[in-house]
Amino acid sequence: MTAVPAGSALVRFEDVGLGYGGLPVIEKLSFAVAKGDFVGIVGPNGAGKSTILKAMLGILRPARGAVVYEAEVHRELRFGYVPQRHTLDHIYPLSVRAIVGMARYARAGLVRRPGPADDLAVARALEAIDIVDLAERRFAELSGGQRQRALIARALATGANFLVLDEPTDGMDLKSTHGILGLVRRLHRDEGLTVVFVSHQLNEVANYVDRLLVIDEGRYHFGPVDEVLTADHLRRIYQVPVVVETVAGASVVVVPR
Amino acid sequence: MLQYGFIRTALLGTTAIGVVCAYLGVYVVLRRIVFVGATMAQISSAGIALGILTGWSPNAWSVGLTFLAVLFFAHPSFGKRWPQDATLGVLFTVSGAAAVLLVAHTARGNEEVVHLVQGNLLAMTAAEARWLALAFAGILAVHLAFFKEFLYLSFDPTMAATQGYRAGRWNLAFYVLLGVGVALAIKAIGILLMFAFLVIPASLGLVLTRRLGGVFLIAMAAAAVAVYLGIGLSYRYDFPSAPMIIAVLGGLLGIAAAWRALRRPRTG
Repeated sequence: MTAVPAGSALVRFEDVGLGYGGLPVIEKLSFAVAKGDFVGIVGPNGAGKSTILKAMLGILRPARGAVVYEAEVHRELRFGYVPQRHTLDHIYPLSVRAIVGMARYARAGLVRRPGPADDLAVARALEAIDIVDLAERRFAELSGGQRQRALIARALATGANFLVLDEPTDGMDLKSTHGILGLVRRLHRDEGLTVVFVSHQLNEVANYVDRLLVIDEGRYHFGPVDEVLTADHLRRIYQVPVVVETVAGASVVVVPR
Repeated sequence: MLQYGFIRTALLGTTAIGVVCAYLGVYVVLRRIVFVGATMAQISSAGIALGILTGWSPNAWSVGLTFLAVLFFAHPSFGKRWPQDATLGVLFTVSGAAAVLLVAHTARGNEEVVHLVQGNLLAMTAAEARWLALAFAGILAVHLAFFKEFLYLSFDPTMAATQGYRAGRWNLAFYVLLGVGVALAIKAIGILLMFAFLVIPASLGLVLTRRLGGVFLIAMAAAAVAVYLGIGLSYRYDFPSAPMIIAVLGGLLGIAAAWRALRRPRTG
């Protein structure tokens, strides 16, 4: 079910089991992300989407199976992680520039302060996301969409070539959601970034990504959007009757009354 | 009052403790672990009480017990299997009661309990004050050297972990430095003032400025000013020093909050 030929994947989940404190969240998960992929991971809250991201980023060790990074690309693999924005406490009086600048701390090394090259990388990231005017604003004062843009800029400032976004549109209105999805698609297309994007809104993601990993209660399916987004597959995964319609050129998943 | 050696000693020791605790307090408030700080202080006082009872190094007992607490608080499972505030509540009350019970039948039982809570700044010896100043300067130096690491790991440990930082170890380092600071401070200045230094100056900084650097500077300056004014007022009007320093800190925070409220644009 990996749909990526051996040798061409950046990261490959091989029969992976994930969980916390002995409690399994995901079992026997196998899929792979190739260079240049735009993958959406979709499922309800608590299905284990963020857990998959943590395993992909190497900060959660699988209980079973293995997360394999292709040896020849591993050296060039630079993850840029965009966390769920509500996990960051707004009590910190930090400007957007300061938060984006954190992306450069690891490169600067222990004790050393970031230098001019780091300042330049931060300036470029702010420019790429078009939030130069927000640079000196406090993170807490921003709207949800602006905060999300700041976090994407921070991910870019790491020098990332693999963007991993955890529910970036959660709780946003239609306009902001469209704006963020459009921005991520532009980064994928113009900057050549590999993107993995998590959401619990199937309709929101399906029309932007190339491939989908849909998970629910331990069941999952991974493949190109056309293949996964069929009534049969979705019915099997979600265990409810599902209709897939095309409206104005976009696929829409509906549960009939 | 500066003509008296014991007052100069108290000023040196208490300012060193106050300024560094105010710095650490900015993290305590931002990380929303104020009650962790209070519980740590209470556990530390139980250690001192154990030292008084056994007649063997209250500081060592205090640091030892606080270190055990630090290992517990920094453990990744802390607050996950059982509500964090309930655990802290249990530790706070039990260690507080233990501290009182342990010294209750010693020669100066009640007096010791009062000292644990209120401290006795003016009884600080010159050697003690120099040693405290050195120890707290060391804690501050480590924090300043690793400023960006402590800030990053406090604000977004997950993102930091994706960049190779060992979030668990940095968290432990943070708690160890805090624990050592709390344990050393308690015997000299008491639980009440120690806790006030952790919470009030940082809150004052957050009320007055929107820049993190400014918050640290205001917090440290407020602690130093409060120590000087508090000891001065207690000398002038014959009040206990530690509560007077806390009163000054509370007063400064009240003035700052009022000033901030007056400056806030009216709505509606």
